[in-house]
Amino acid sequence: MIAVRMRGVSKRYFPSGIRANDEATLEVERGSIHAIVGENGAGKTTLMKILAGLELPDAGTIEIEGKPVHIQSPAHARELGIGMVHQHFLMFDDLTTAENIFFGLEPLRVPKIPGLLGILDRRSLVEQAQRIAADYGFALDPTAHAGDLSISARQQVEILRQLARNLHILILDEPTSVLTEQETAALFEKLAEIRRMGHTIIIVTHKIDEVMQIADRVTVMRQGKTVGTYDIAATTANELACLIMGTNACEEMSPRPQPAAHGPLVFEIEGLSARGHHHGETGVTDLRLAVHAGEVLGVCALSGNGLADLEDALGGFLVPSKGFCIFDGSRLDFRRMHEYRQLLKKGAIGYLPSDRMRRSMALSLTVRDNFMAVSRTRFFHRGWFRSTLATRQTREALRSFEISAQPEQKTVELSGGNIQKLAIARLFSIQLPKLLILCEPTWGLDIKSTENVHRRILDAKAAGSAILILSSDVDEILALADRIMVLYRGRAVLLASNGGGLNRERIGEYLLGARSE
Amino acid sequence: MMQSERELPAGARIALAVVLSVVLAAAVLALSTKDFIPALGQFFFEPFANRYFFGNYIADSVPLMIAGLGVLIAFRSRNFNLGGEGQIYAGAIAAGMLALSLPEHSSPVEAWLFAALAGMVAGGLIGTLSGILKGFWHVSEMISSFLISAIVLNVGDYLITGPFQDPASNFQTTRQVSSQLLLPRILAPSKLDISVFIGLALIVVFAVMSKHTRPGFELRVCGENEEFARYCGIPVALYQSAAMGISGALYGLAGALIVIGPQARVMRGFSSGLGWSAISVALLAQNSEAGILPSALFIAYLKAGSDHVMIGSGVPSEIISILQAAAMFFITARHFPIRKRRRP
Repeated sequence: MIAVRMRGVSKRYFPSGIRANDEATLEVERGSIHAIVGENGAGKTTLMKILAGLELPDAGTIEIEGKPVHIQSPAHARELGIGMVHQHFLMFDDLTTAENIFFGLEPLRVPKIPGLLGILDRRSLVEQAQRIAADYGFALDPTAHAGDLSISARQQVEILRQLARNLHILILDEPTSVLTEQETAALFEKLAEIRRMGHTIIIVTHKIDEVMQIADRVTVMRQGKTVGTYDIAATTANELACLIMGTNACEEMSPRPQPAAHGPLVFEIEGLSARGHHHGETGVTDLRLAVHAGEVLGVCALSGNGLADLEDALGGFLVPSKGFCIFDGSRLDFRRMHEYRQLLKKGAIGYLPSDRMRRSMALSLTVRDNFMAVSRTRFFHRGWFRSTLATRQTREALRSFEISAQPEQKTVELSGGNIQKLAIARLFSIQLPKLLILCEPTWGLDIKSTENVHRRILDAKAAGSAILILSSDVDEILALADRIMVLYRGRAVLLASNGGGLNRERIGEYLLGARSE
Repeated sequence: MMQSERELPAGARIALAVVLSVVLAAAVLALSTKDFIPALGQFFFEPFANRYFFGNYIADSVPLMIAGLGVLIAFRSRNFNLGGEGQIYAGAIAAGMLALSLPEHSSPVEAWLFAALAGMVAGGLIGTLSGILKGFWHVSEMISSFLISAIVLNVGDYLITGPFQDPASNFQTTRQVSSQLLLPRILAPSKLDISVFIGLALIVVFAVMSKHTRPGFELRVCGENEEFARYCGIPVALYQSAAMGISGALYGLAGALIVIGPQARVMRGFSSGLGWSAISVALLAQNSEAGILPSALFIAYLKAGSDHVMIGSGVPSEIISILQAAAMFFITARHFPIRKRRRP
C-alpha cells in the first residue's frame, strides 16, 4: 500500500528564481522507513515542506493513501496524518515536556465550554505524557522544562508531539545531524519501534551509512529532480554515493592524512579553566594543549563536556578564569581577553564558529555583506566602500566553493549547507592564518562539500598552518587529525597520535568516560 | 495547480498603506463634518494653496526630517530611542539659553553655529547616556531613554517658567531671541527658513555614510546580529553608545533649529508630540535614509491638512489624532499582505 505518492512536483523560489524542485516524484510505502538523500540544495527539504503543507508547489499532484489531495497548510497536512520534525526544533522552552507534547490537546478538568477557557488537568497531562513515552520506549521526564533538555531529548519531545496527534506519516529532517553516535543509535531503535507500530517514516539525510543502517528504501534527489528509488537490500553505499553526486567514477573517499613532519610550536595553552555558561555545560578545567605548524590537533567530546566552552574561550566569547597561552612565541594571559581578541581581529588566528545561524552569519544581511564582514578593512579604501571589488571577490569565492547563491541574495535564503560553505569560503579566501580554530567544520554538509572542506584543511596544513579542530564527529577527527584529544566533563582524558590502536570504538570509550589516562 | 504566494515589494506595501490612510482620512471627514466636500478640499489641497500655507507645511516637516533621521540611526543599531521628546526639549533649551546670552551685535552665522552645536551637545549627551547604559550594562535603552526624557521635560519646564521666564509675557515662555540672530527666512511670509537645506543635507550625508563608508557598514552589522558583530571584531558597545548619541544629537539639533528659526523662543511644551512623530517618520521610511524625506513630508502633510480642517470646518483635533494613529497602524502593519520566509 502506498502511503504517499507525489508526481511532477515543481517549486521555484522568488525572487531568486531558483528551481528547488523540478518535476520531482516520490512514492513511499506504508509502514516503511523511507530515506531521501541528496546533496545540500538538492531539493529534499523543499519536497518535504510541500508534503507537510509548509510550501505550496507550483505544479504537481499528491496522493495520500491513494486519495488525491491539495495540501494547503500545515494544519491540513496534520488532518491527513502528516507531521514534520524540523532540523531546528520548534518548541516552547518555558513549558514542560508534557505541555509541549500535548500543546493544543491538553486534557481539561471540566469539559470545555465553547468560547470559554478550560481548566488544565495537570495530573492527567503528566500521566498521558508518561503513557505515550512508555508506549514508544522513550525515557523522558514529563515535568522537566523543555529548555533544560538535551538536544536528543528535545528531538524525542518533537517526535512524541507528532505521535500524540495520531500522525502516522512522520517526516524527520536531518534527524541525526545534532546527535552523537550513541544518541543516533538510540534514535534508530525508537524509529524501528515506531515503524513496527505501523507508522510511515520519511527521513531526509545525507549520511549514507545511516541510510544503509535504518531505511527500507531510499529515494535519491539531485538538482531538484528525483534520480530514482532503490531497495536498500539491492544497493550499496558506494552506488548511492555515485547516484547522489552524479558522477560515474566514484573514487574512494578521502585517504587518511599522512602524518606530517611538523614544524615549530605555534600555539600552546597552559592551565586553561573556564566556567561553563551554556545549558548543562561543565566548562573546562586545567586544560593544556599544543599545536605545531603543519599539524592538525583534533579535540573531540560529546555535547555537554566542555567543547562549547573551549570554543567560546578560544573564540573570544568567554573570559577564562585561569590560564595563559603562548602564540607564536609571545605569552598572553587569557584573563586579559582583549589582547587575545586582537589576534583574532588581525587575522593571525582564523576561527570558524560552530553556531552558523547566529555567530558566523548575520542571516538578514546579503551574502556579500557576510562574506566581507570579517576581513572588511581590505574592502574600504580610506574609509570608502569598494563595492565592485567586494562583489567580484564574493562571486569568485562562491564559484570556487560551488555555492549556489548570488552576492546580492539575502543569506537567510541559503540552505544550511551553503551557509556553512560560505563561512568556510570566507575563512579560506584571505591570507592563511598561522592558527586555524575550526569548530564542527563539516556539520550538516553533504559528502562532496565535506570532501572539499577536508581537502582545504589538509592544504592549509601542508602550507604550514597549525590547525585545531573542535568536533563531536569522531569520523571527522579520525579522518583529519594527527593527534587526538578527548574531553570528558571538561578535562582531557586522552591525548594520543592518530593511527595505531586508536579507532572509533576506542575513542567512544573515552568520550563516555569509561576510560581515562 | 496551486499558485505560490509572493511577497509584495516594500514600496508597494508602503504605497498601499498611504492610499489606505488617505481613504480613511476621507471617510473620517465624511462622518465628522457636514461640509464634506469643502473639508476634503481643506485637508488635501489647502497645504498647497498658497506660498504661506505651503511654506509653513514644509517648515513643519524639517524637524521631522532631522529627528526622524535620529530615530533611524538608533534603529540601525537595533536601539529604540524613546527619549526624543526630552532630547528635543533639551536641545531647544540649550540653544535658547545660548542665543539669549549672546550680545545683540554678535555675528549671526556664529550664533547659528553655536546654538545648533549647543542643541546637539545637549541632546547627544542624553542619548549617549542611554547608549552607554545599554552597551556596557545591558540596561534597556527604551526604558532608560524614556525615563530620562521624562526628567528632562520637567527640568525644562522649570527652567522655562522659572529662571528664564520672560517677565513681559503672559505666556510660559523665555524671552525672544534677537531677530538678527534668527535663521534667514525663505518663501516669506511663511515661517520656512534655511533649516530645510540643513535637513536635506543631513539626509544626503547620512545616506552616503551608511552605504559607502566603513562605520556605516559596521553599524549595520551591529544592528543585524550582535553576536556576529562581536565575531567580526566590531566594538559593539561603542557603536551602540555612538548610535544613541548621534540619535540624541539629531533630536537636539531639531529642537535648536526651531528655537533659532520659526519660534524664536522656547515655549513650554512646544515639542510635545514631535518626538513621537519622528518615530512614525522613521518607521515609515523602512530603515532607509532616502525614505526619510517622503516620510517626513507625508507625516507633516497629515498634520498640515488636519490643522486646516480643524480651523476651516471645526473638526475636533481628537478626530485628527485618530486619523494619524490609523495611518501609522497601516504603515507599521508589517504582515499585510503575507510575508513569507523563504529557504531553498
